Amino acid sequence: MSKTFGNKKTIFLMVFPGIALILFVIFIPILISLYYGFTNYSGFAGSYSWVGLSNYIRIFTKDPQFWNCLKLAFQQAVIRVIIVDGVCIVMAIAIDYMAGRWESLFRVVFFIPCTISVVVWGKLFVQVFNPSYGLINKLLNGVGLSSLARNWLSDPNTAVWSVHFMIIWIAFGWSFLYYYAGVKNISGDLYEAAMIDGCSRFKMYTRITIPLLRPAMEVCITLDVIASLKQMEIIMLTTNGGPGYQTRFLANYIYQLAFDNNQYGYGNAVSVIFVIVCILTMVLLRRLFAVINKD
Amino acid sequence: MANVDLAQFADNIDKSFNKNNRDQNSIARKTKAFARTANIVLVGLFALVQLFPLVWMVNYSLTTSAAVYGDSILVWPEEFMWDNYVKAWTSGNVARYGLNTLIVVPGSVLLSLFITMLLSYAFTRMQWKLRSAFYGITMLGLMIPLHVTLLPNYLSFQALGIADSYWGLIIPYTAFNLPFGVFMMTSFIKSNPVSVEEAAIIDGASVWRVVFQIVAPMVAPALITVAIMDFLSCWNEFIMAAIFISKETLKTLPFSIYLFQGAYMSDYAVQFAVLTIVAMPPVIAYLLMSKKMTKGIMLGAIKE
Amino acid sequence: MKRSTRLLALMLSMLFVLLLASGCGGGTSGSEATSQASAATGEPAQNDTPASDDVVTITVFSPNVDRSSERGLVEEMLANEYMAEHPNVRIVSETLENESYKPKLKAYIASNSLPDIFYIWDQPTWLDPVVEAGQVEPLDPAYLTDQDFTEASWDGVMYGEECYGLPNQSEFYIMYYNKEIFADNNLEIPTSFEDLLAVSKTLRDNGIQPCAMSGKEQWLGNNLIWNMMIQLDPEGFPESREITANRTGRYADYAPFVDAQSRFMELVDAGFFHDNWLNADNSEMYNMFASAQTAMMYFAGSYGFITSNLPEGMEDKVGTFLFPASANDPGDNGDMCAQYVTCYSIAKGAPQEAFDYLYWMMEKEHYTKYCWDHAGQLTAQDVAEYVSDADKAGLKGDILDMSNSVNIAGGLIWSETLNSTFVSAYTDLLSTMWSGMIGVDDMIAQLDTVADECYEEIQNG
Repeated sequence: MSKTFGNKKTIFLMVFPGIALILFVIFIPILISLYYGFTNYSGFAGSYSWVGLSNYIRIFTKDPQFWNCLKLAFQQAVIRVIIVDGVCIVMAIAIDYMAGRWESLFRVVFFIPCTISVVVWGKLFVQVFNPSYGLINKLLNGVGLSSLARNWLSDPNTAVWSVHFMIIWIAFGWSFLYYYAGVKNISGDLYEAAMIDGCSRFKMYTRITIPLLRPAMEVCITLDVIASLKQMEIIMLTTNGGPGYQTRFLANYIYQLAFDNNQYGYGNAVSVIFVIVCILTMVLLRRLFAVINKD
Repeated sequence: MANVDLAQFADNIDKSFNKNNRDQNSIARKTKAFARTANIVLVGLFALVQLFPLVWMVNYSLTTSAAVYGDSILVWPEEFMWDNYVKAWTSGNVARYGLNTLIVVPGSVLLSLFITMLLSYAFTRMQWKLRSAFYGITMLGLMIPLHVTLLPNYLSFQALGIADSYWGLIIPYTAFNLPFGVFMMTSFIKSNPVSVEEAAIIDGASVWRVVFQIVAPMVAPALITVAIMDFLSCWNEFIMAAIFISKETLKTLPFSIYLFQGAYMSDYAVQFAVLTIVAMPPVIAYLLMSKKMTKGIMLGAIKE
Repeated sequence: MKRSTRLLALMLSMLFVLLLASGCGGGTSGSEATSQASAATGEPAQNDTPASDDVVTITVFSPNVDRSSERGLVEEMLANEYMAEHPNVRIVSETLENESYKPKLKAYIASNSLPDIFYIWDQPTWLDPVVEAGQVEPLDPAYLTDQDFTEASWDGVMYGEECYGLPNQSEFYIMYYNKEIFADNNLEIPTSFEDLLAVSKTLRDNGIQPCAMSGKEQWLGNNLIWNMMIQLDPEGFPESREITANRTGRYADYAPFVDAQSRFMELVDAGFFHDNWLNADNSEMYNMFASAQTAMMYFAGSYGFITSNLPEGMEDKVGTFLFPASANDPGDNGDMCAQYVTCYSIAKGAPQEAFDYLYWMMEKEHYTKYCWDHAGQLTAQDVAEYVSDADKAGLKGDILDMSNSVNIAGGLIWSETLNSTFVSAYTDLLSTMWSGMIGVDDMIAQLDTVADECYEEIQNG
């Protein structure tokens, strides 16, 4: 057995195409990034020089924007895990409970928003948040709360939260799918046994369903955190990072540095730190999951 | 007598208990029916809101640009402007770009699935020294900001002569699809009992047969999910396409959208028409696949 | 089992098809599709016959994605005309919209593979590094001496004695107004900044949003600030460039700078711009004005842009005026800069045919005439001889009149004279100030700090 599963030739043939692709398209560029992170390369043609650690020193000592981006990402991650995962678990259970026609209808419907290009979402939100024609202000005016109506995306008090709201709004599809699959994967025998023991429905969900969704949760939370760090397009399409750089996420910042600011070297240093932050977060999450699973 | 009385009493108790029980049942049934309806209504509302952008997009694709600044959030067009679609189709170059997308996207989805399957199996079942190192490298791909890879990749693609060809998109799309796919597939494969595979090997099957004839069908729901994920990410991808493709004859569908996004393009209605055209194939593809996807999920549920 | 075998077979056959398809992409077949595409775009067919030795292909790279109107149409028409006259030349165009044009241009530059003719900004942040890297061919403006280029338009493209680009656009910014809305509200064209504020107030009182503006990207607002700065100091305004490029002083000490920023904020606070202006892009701005939701709009003097999507009957309602100076300003309404910020350049090693085509294309009777007739836009050359009486009578003529009343020709906007890090920091600060998070003085103090840092960085190489 171990001979078959350890056959070097088989392993090589299995692994080579994929690893070659990943090394070539993703890993080598990152190594190049690592190199440019130590230079003042503009991204243009022309000469550049080795600047040692000064890019990194700049990130840590005088780049408030970088830290703002990080703060945004982690804010987003926390809100997302709480709201998206919470809502999706409830929805998955609710839809499973329906059974029959309704179940198959909603199951299909919930994923559709994920198939729509983010360009559409961006345009929709710009419209919804529009101070004079947007849905939100119209509703507020309609119920006599005109004092709350505002320019949601550019008012410094609401811009960040409006952006978090938008991103979360479009994030349900995939998580729902995972949780729904998770709920469906729970064997009916367990419920029956619980029923015989006189468990209430609510107890059944908290004692059986949710604990058994743990693997799905791990996947979803991991993906949520990564997605929070990598937000980009929806920002470009709506606030463009404003007011100031309040709503600019890391990926937007890196893009701006590399392609608008002619600071390719510095942009690469930022992305190296970005990758390190990602890795650290992932490691931490895994530790956290391991601790929880042990209990 | 006493005996009879006792029996009567017991009978009475039994009767009343049964009656009580029946009442309780009907209450339970009523609450259940109410919960059911409330459930459907609440979930239905949420679903409507989630579907709204689709309705909104189609709605505005059939009006005039000025309608966007009207008083209502949806408008009933005075006249259905089907012409917007004609304009979108022709000036958006949809036919030509669509053809390219139909080559590039299925190409990279299939290639991704094939490689994902191989890699995931190697990462879960095969025993080799560098396994966790390479798994780590693959997972790193999840966290890479795409934009820092653009310039280095453009340079290397040019050197290899694959910039400005279908491969110039299929290769990077596939590579960027792999980490997610592997991430999902490894956990699915892990959750399957290894005993079936071992039995097959003892029966003399090769590892390749095991991967494609035993494991692949077992993880079919996951494969379909990965396929949809890959499909969606490639279908709407623009920035790599913009950098790696220069020839008019090789451009893909998102170019159609961005043809109308320039600073000087102000015809909103046509923008919505082109967005609708580009958005429809994924929606339809998903609707077609969704049955299989859930069937697979159900199968998985029964198996366990 | 059977199904999975079929799946595998399907996968493999798809791979095979792909291999074939990629062969096609390389240019061996697929002629049908190619000619279809060219029919749709009006672009010359390519790849359908193997290029014979005597046919030279020239690539033109530009951000004019729309090939059926404005400058895209002009490029298309001129290319087709030239090809008809020169059967040995094939002109292929590649276009990307602005946002993706810039990264692609950078990718071309980084890989030293610029297309033969390309459109670029003749600013220190764009053309300079490309010239320094030796990726651009020097041009000989002698071919064009009698082509009536505005003297000032050459400033940006000359490097010492050498010329590295042919300027192709004159940019100036004016106010458009809706005559009907003005009449309905008994308003006159404002002749001073104070009038403008009064007009704005009347419109707001009547529930009308006064002026459409795009503030999602800050350059248009910055342009207006520049405009006001010149009106505040028509003689001394180049000082703002000196302060930026050489840090000869501080913005906080240069009164016209501070005043212009404050004046802009005065407009913001008065509700002069439309409600959503901070999040509006150019298309939103345009649509607000075109659908008569606002009474005015501040934008480039370009007839083609203004009329490209106007609803029927709207064109007659559009009037123009110059952004008014304050009654006490030393400068008048015409005191602003016409900018020449874009040009066509030729990549190192491009064939002689590319030079021939570019010189031909930039002849007045081609580029300028076509831009005027088909795009309603002004170039860096004098257009007078192509203006018909019919043109003069309408909006097109109005815009031309406006351009003739612009007092100052040429000159880079002050904010572009340092580096792009500075520009980004400045635009972020503007957006912060416009949204009310910081005041003018704070903004300027921070701007001085940023400028010092950027300047220092440049000095240290």
